[in-house]
Amino acid sequence: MLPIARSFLDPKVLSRLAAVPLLARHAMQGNISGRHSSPHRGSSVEFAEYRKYVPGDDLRRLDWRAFGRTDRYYVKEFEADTNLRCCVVVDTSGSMAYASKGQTTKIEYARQIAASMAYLAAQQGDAVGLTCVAEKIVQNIPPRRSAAHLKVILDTLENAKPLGGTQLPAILNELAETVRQRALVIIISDFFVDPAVLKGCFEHLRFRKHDVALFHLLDPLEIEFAFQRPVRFTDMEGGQPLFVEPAEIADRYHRALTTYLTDLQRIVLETAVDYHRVITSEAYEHPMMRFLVGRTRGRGIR
Amino acid sequence: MNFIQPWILLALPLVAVPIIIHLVNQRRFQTVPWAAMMFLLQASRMSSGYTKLRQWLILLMRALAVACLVFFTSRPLASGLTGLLGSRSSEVAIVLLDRSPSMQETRTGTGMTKLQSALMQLSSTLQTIGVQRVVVFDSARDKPSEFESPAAMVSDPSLVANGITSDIPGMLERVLIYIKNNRFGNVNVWICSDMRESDWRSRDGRWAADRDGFIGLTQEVRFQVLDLGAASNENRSIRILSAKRVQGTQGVELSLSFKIERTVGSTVPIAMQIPVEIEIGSARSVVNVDLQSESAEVNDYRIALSSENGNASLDKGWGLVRIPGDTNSADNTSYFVYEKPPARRTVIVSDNPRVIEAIELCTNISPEQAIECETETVASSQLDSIDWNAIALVVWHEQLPEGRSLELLTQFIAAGGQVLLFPPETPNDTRAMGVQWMGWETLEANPKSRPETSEADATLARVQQWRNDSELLGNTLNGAPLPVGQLGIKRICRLEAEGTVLAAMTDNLPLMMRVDASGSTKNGVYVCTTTPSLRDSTFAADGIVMYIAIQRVLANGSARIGSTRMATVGQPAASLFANAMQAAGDGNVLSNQFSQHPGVYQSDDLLIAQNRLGDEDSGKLVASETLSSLFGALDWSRIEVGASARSLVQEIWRWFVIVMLVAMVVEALLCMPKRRRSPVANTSSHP
Repeated sequence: MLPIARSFLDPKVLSRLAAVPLLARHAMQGNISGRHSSPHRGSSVEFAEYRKYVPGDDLRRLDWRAFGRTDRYYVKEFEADTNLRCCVVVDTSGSMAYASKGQTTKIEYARQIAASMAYLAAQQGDAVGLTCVAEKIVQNIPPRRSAAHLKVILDTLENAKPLGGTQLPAILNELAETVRQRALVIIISDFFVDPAVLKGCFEHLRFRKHDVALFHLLDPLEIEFAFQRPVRFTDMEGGQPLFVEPAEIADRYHRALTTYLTDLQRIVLETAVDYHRVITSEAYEHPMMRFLVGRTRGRGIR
Repeated sequence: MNFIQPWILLALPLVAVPIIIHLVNQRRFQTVPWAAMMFLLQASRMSSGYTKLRQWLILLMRALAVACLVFFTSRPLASGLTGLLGSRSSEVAIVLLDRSPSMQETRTGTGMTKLQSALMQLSSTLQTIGVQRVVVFDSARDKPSEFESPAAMVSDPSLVANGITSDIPGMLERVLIYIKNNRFGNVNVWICSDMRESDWRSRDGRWAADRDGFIGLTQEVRFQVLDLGAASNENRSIRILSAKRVQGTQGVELSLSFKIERTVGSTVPIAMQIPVEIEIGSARSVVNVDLQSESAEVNDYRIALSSENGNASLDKGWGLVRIPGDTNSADNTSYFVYEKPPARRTVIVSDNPRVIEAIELCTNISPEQAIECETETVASSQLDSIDWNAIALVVWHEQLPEGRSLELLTQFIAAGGQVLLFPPETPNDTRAMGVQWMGWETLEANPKSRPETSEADATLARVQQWRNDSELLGNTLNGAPLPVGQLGIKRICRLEAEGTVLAAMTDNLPLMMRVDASGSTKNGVYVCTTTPSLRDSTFAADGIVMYIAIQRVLANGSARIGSTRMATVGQPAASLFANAMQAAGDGNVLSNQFSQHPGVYQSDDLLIAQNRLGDEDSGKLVASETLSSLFGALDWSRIEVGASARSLVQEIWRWFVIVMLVAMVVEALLCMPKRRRSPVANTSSHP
C-alpha cells in the first residue's frame, strides 16, 4: 500500500509503467543530476567530444593519452544528465465532467493520467508541478522534487472539480511565459477549442523550449454520436441548450468533428507536439505506455 | 376506381400513423448534458437541405406504404364505372339479358356477337366482385334461369340469341315481383342490351309502374345498364312484308313484297345494289335491288309458281329471301309461307236476322277475287253442329250466350276466332265474355254537328272520337281516315265492359270497343253498341265503315283458318311447335326452342313462317335523355361496354403491393446509415 494511495492511482499499473522511464524529448535544464540529457557538458559516462584545453580548465580532465599521441592538450567532455521539470496541466472546465453511459468521466480519466505521470516523475527524481485550468488558472502548484510535494499534487487532483467554461488558449500562453527554464508540459484536456487558436499556444510553448505533450480525451459517444430520439443538449460549460434531431444532424456533426480532428492532427505535426488522442473507453495505462515508450525512441536528441 | 371491400377504406386515416409517430417522437426528447457543443453548433450552421428532404421522403414513403396496404386490402377494381357497387356488393346478381336478333351483331375485331361478348364480360365481372349466384331474366321465358356461378352463364345453351324482341319493361316487372318474393337484401340488377328502342319500348306505360314499384321496395336496388354500343355501320336487313299466292296472267304466281333497310347512321356509300336471293322450295333466283337511300322496298314482285321449277305444291309452300352476309347474320334472312287463300266463313247468330242484314252483305262480298266469302245464319241452339275450325267470324245478335254456347264461343275465341257482338232488342242481365248489356238509350243530336249536313241528318248524333290507329277503324293503307264521323247514331245500348274503346259518342258512351275478356290484349271480341238497322244507325247507309271493319275482323279471323301462318317470333303458342319439324332456319336451334327462332316450321299440315319483329331492323336507339327519364329517381348507371372480351372490372391490388414494396425499399434505403470512414474511431498518437 502506497502512503499516497488514491482511488485514481493503481499500484499495479504504476509498477508496470515504472519499467519504462519518463524521458524528455529535448534537453532539460535541471538543478541536479538526473536521467535526462542536459544542454550542458557534465560528468556522465557517455562521451561527448574532445575540446581544446584553455587555461582555467581542470587539469584532471586533460586527456593525457591524446597529448601523448598528438602533442596537443585536449580536454575530454562527457554528456551531462540532469533532472526534469514536469508541469502537468489538467483541464477542469465543465466539459471534463462528461461521460457517456458506462464510461469514466474525462476528469477522472485526466486524474488517473496526471497522478500516474506525477508519481512516475517523482519516483525518478524529477520535479513535478500541477496546474488546474478552467476559465482561469484554478490551481497552480510549481514543480518541486520532494515526496511531500507529490502528496500535495495528489490532494489537489482529488479535490479538482470540473466547473465553468474554458480559457485554455489564454492560460497556455500564460504558462508558456511563467514556467521557468525548459520543462515537460503535459496537457490533459478535451481541447474543445478552435485548432487555429491552439496552434498559437503550442508554438508559444515550443518557442520557450518546452517539451509539450497532449492527452486529448474524447468520450466514445462524442465520436459515435449514436442517438436515436430527438435530444435536447445542454452545454456543460454554461452555453445555450440546443434541440436537435440526431438523424438529421449526425452527418454534419461527424463532418465537423472530422474537420476538427484533421486540423488538430496537422497542427500537432507542424508544431512538433507529442499528441495522444485517447478514447475514454480505453484503459488509461495504454495511452500512458504509448507515451512513455514513444519517448524512449528519442533518447539522445539534444 | 371501385373497391370490393370499400369499408376497409375506413382505415385510411392510418396513413397518418407514421406522421403521428414522428410527432410523438419529437415530443419524447431526452435531455443530455453535452460537452462537445462546439461540433453541434458547427453542424447546425451547415446546410441541411438534403437531410431535411430525406426525412420528408422517409415520412412520405412510410405513409405511402400504409396507404397502399389499406388500398390493397380493400381489393381495388379498375374500371370506367362510376359507383359500380358502392357498398352494396351482393352475392346474388340479377341479369336482364337482351337476346333479341340485334344482339347477334358481330363486334368489330373480336369475332364474337354482342350477346357473347356481354355474357363473357359480365361473367368475368361478376366473378371478380364475388357474386356467387346469378339469376337471368329474358324475354323468351317467363321464369328466370338461375346459375350457381357466373361462369355457368357463358356456356349455357339456353342463353343464345333468339328471334324474340326483348321486352325490357316487362322483364323489369318480373324482376320486381321476383325481388319481392325472394326478400333479397341489396340487389344489383344488370341490364345487358344494345339499347334498341324496340327492346326498351320507352313509351310503354309499364315503365312508370316499374319505377314506382322499385322505389317502393324496402331493399336498395341498383341498376347497371351495360350498353353494348350502337349497331355496326355496315349492317343491312331484309324483311318480308307480304307473300301472297295470286292468279296471274301466266298462271299461279307468288306476289312478294319485301323491304331492305340500312342501319341508321350508316357511313357506307348510299347508292348500292343488293343481290336478293329468293328461295322457294328448292328453286332459287336472284333479284338485284338498288338501295338508293336508307331503305328500299320491293312490292308485288311476281314469281311464277309451277311444278317445273321445283315447287312441291302450287297451292301451298314456303320460301325465304336473303341478302349477302354482313355484321349481323340474324337479319339477313326473312321467311314466308303461301297457300291458296281459304274461304272466309262467317256465322251469324241472331234472333232477328233482318236487323243485321247489312252485316250479312258485308261478310258475303269478297274484297279480292281469289278469296271466297261465305255466311251462314244459325240459331244459338245449332252451335254444336258448326265446324268451328273453318269459321273466321261469329256475329252474335241475341241475348249474350250462356252455358254450352258460351263454352263453345270461349274455345273459339281462345283459338283465335273473332266475335262481333250486337245488342239484342231487349237485352237481359246476362253477363258473358266480360260484357253485359244495360239497355237502350236514344241519342240526341250533338250541338256541334256539322252545318253541311241535311236537316234530317242534323237530328242524328255523330261519333265524337275514334281511334284511327286501331285494327278495325284505322286509316287505310294510303293514310286516309275512314269516314266514321259521318255515321249517324239514333239509339245505343249501354253496356258494362272492360276493354279498349275504338269509337265513342261521348266519353262514357262507347260505340265500338274491343273487350279484354281474358286479360289478353289480342282478344278477338268486339262489341258494337248499336245495330246497322236504319232505326238505330246509318251504319248500313254509310256502309263503307262497316264493310271495312267487318272485312278487317274477317281477315284477322281467317288467319287461323288456313294451314299456313306468318307470324312474328314469339307470337304463336309454343304448343304449336311441340311436334314441329324445321323446314328452314338455323339448323343449330334446339327443337324445344323452335318457337323462339325465325324459320319455317311444319307441324302436321300447318306451315309456320316466323320472322323477327319489324322494329328490330330500324336500328333506332334509346337516347340518353330518354334513358334517364325511364329510370327517373332510381339508382342506376350506364356502362359502355368495350369490344374486348375482358372483364368490365379488373382487380389491381397487385399494383398497390408493388408500390408498397417499392415504398418500403426506398424507405429502407433512405434510412440506411452512411458508411463513415472516420479518422476519429481510433486513438492516435504523434510523438
